[in-house]
Formats: sequence, structure tokens, C-alpha cells
Amino acid sequence: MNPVLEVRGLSVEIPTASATLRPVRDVSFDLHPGETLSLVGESGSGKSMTALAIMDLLPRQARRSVERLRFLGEDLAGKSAGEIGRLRGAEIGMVFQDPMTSLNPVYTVGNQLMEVYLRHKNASKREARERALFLLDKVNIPDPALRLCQYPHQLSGGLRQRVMIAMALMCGPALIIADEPTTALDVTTQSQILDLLRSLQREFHMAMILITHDLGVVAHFADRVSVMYAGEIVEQASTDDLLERPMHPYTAALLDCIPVPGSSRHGGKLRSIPGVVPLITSGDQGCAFRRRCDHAQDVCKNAGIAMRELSGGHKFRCVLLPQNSADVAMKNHA
Amino acid sequence: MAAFALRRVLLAALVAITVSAIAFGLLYLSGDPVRALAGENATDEVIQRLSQEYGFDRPIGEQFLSWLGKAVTGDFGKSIYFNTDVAEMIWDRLPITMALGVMALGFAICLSIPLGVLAALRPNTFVDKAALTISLFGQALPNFWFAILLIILFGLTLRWLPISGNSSFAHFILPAVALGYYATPAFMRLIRAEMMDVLASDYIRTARAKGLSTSSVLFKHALRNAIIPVVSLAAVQLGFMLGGSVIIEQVFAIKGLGALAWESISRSDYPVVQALVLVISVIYVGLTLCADLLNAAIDPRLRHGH
Ligand SMILES: Nc1ncnc2c1ncn2[C@@H]1O[C@H](COP(=O)(O)OP(=O)(O)O)[C@@H](O)[C@H]1O
Ligand SMILES: [Mg+2]
Repeated sequence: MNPVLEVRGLSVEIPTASATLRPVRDVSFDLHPGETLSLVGESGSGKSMTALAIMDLLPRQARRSVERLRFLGEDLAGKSAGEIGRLRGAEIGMVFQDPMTSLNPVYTVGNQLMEVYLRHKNASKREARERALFLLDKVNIPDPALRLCQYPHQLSGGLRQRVMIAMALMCGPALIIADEPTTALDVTTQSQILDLLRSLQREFHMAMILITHDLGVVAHFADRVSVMYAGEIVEQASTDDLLERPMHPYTAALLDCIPVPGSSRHGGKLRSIPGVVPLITSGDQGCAFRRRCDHAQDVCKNAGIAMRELSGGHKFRCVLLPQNSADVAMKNHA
Repeated sequence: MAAFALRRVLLAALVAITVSAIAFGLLYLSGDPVRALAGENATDEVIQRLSQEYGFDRPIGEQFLSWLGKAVTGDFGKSIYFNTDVAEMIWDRLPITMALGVMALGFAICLSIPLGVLAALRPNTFVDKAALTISLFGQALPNFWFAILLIILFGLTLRWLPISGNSSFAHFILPAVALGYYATPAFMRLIRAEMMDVLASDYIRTARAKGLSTSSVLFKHALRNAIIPVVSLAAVQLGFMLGGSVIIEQVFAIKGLGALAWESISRSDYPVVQALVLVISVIYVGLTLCADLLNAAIDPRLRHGH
């Protein structure tokens, strides 16, 4: 089956006065029809930048380079801004992190839903309204006709995120990119929104990139996972494989932070990896994680740490012997 | 919306009354109007007669209330100097100053909105710096001086436009440009800053992620949000232009409210000055009210009391 999205060698550079930042480095992945791929990593890993780079929505200063970027077999890298604009919102829907600020405060929900349909489909206002009502119903918003005339500030965060999801689905996209869609919401709303996304994805046969910093979300919702660290994919595997056999010490450390209900593994406290994600500039080399890694050795400072591949498409970017990494994994699951 | 409007109207009326009371008091404190009226060498008898005639012998509070009571019905009394109806004098001049102010504001906005938007789209580039320079030039020059430059260039050298009087539309062009140019830097900077903020906002990213056209992103989604504080500034600036057109009206020999104020102050024509203060403060407050209502129409959060 042909992939919905093929990304090869995607990098983003941001020139600044002192150095060139490299928030996304050599990112590659495939996304198959109906599949959910999760991009996971701590805040600042470059997950959002990766999504924006695919959509050609990067901030002005940022420069994108990519070896291959194909969507439904079509080359995106060579397309003009206008042609990509025709795909955005139509074939690819996006849901962002903060529903409180992602909707325009001065237009009604209906206006904002309908405009994307009117833009991409050769449709009348009535048809657009019908479609908006249909989707508000699909995302379980009660009394859609009333909501259509309301402004964003009259809706709760959960409802606004449902509106954002409805908006992403207006034109029947083949791919939906959800960038931390529940991070800004309270816990009960979070799981409702994620369940909703999953059921809509199945109903409309969409592929999905689910960006999150929460491996707990990954475990429940993703088919495959790409773990990102400091702009790079450091490990990529099927969800089961990754959770069972994390190869990269960063993945292992992330897994170690998931609270296990009923267990007193961390003395009941939420744990996080000490330190922060470094900013990588053009001069840096070696493994970006080495300073926070319990297993770091001298070889980790060497340039060009290659992706290594195990059976079943399980890839990871670590020079430590698989034997060692397996030990790491074992240790975490003891 | 109706309750919102009513609240604003009541507040506006209160402000106008307060301002005119203060103005009334200040005029009273600034010297004895009767003495000014009667001249240096007037006898006590003459002064007393004048005092009674104009009511200056009554307590100030009483004077103010009776003046305000009449003013509300449109009766501002008679000019001390001309002995003509003050309301009529003001009505004659008001449209001239209004026309000048509105044209000046129109000029300022037509110049600064495109410049501000361009500057916001290309921050720190040549376009941005050029826009800033153009607008700074307007603020650096005193506006009478700029007015004289305009007169020399377009009036005397090129002979394109008339330079004095207010008998036709063409007569208003140079004064409106001189008056409006002064306000452009404030507008331009505000629009630039607001546009930059709005363009960096999440909902603009959403609009772009929806694949909307550049013009829709820029004008439908960004400008409508960026314009909200600009509307408030426009009201304040138009108020300044009406009150502050004194100099420009002098330079271009325009017989507007500014010129009337200037002349009346120098003639110690108190009834006219007091009426002008009230009228200008009512206009000022009315403009702010219009801006609030316009903004409430633009931004639903203001209508719903957020
Ligand atoms: N406009 C920008 N200019 C410079 N650096 C940026 C900009 N936006 C994001 N970054 C940097 O890029 C890195 C990746 O950010 P991001 O993709 O938002 O991470 P994530 O979504 O994984 O939390 C971060 O280090 C962030 O500081
Ligand atoms: Mg992010």
C-alpha cells in the first residue's frame, strides 16, 4: 500500500545573530492509510516544528530543507505556496494545542467552519452550513445550530477543541495532524477528545499524526511511534515494540516517567528526566542526549550517529551495543 | 448591546458635564470677567451694572447651573463682543472644523494603515524602515512649519491648490494634510505593532493551516483584530484635531471653531469660550462613545462584557 505521507531528510534551520539553530534534523518517516503515528518527546524536541515544516507553515525566519516530501504520491517539496495552500485545510487538517487561542475571537463558529469549505469546495453557503452542522454533530456538540451562531469565547475549552476538530474535518482530509490536541485541557476532557479523534479517524479512514509529550497517550492511541529528541528522531517502532523493548536510553527514560497506577515505583511522585532539551546549533555534533544519559561513553561525542535497525522496522539512533540498550530496557521493566 | 450602549451614553453625558463645570470654574478663576469687559478705567458703578446684567454677581454654582440648564436647550446666551447669538456663531463654524478634522483623519488613516500593514509584514526590512521614516518626519516637524512647507510647495510654487479660505473642497486639502500628517506616526506604529502581534497569533496560524488565501488571512482574519485599538486612537486623534486645529486654521485662514476660540479668548468673550469648551468636550466624548460602539460591533467579546 502506498503511504499517505513520505518524509525523508526533513530539516529546519533558523539563522540567528549568534548561531544557526537546528530545531529539526534529518527527520524521516512514512505514514500509511488509516494509521496513527505518534511523534513523542519532551517540550522543545521539535515536534511542532516538524509538523509546521510538513505543512509549509514555518515562521518566517525558518529555512526548510527536505530530500523527499510526498503526500498521496504527489511531491510537496516542489510545490508553490499557492498549490500547498490548496492542500492545507482540504486534504490535510490540523488541530492545534490551545483551543482558547486557535479560533479567531471576532468571527462566529459557523463562519470559521464554513469558510474552509467554501474555500476548497465548489459549494454554496447552504451546503457549507449543512456540512458544518453535520460535523458539529459528529464531534458530539449538542445543539449545533445554536453553536454555529456563537463566538469562540462563549464556548468552553473542550467545546472549542471539538470545533477545531470539526474544522479540520470539514473538507474530508486524508490526513489529520493533531499537535498536542489535549495538553491544554483537563484530564476528563482529554480522554474524551482523544477517543473522539480515534473514532472519527476510523469512521473517515484518515491517517493521523498525533503529537504528544505523553507516552501514556501513545500507548493507548498510536499504531507506531517516533520518539523525537532535540530535533531528531531517536527511535521509531510499532507502539507495542517500543513499549516492550525500548532501545534508546531516552525512550527508556521517558517510559520510566510514566506513573503506574497502584505502584509506588517513584514513591508516588511524578518523575521527569533531570535537565532540559538542549538547543542544537550547526556546530554541535554527537548524540544530543549524551549529557543527560546514564550510559554515555566517549563514543557518544562522535559525529554522525547513524540509525540502526532491528527486525520489524524497529529503528534507533544510539551507538551503544544493542546488548547494552537491551539491558537498559530490561532494567526499566524489572 | 442596548444596555451596553445606554451605559456608555450615560457615562459620556456625565463626563461632558464634569468637563464643562471644570472649564467654567477655571474661567472664573482666571480673572474677573467683568473687569476685563469694562476695561482698566471703568468706574465701580459701571462694573456693578455689568455684573448684574451678565449675572456675575450670583454665586458660581448658581451661575453654572443656570448656564448649563440653558445650554442643554441649545441656548448659550449672547456674545459679549458681538452681542449675537453664541449658538448661531458655533453652528456656523462647526461644519467647517468637522470637515477639516474628518479629512485630516481620513488622510492620516489612508496613509498609515497601508504603511503599518506593510511594515508589519516585512519587519526590519527596507519597507519597514522607510515607513517609519515617513511617519517620523511627520512628528518631527512642528505642524505649522509643515503647513508652511505645503503652502510654499503646492500653493506658491506649483500653484495646484488654494492656500487660504474655506470656500471649496480644494481649500481643505492642504490644511487636512498638514493636520493629519502629524497624527500618522502614532497610527502607523500602533497598526504595525498590532498587526505583528496578531500575525504571530494562534488563530492566524489556524487560518493559514486552513489554506485560506493570503488576502483572507490578512484582511479578514488579521486586520479586523488589529484595528480595534486603532479605532479608539482615531477617536482621540479626531478630538485632538478638532480642538487643536487652532493653529492650522490660523495659517490657512479657515473660519472654523479653532479660529473662533482663538479670537474669542483674545476678546475675553466668555460666553463664546464657555460654549466652545462644552461643545468640544461633548464632541470629544461623543467620539469616544462612537469608538466604543464601533469596537463593540467589531469585537463580540466587548458586547458580551468580557
Ligand atoms: N520562531 C522560533 N525562533 C527560534 N526558535 C524557535 C522558534 N520556534 C520554536 N523554536 C525552537 O525550536 C525548538 C523546537 O520547538 P517546538 O517544535 O515547538 O518543540 P515541541 O513542539 O516539541 O515542544 C525549541 O527549542 C524552540 O525553542
Ligand atoms: Mg509543540
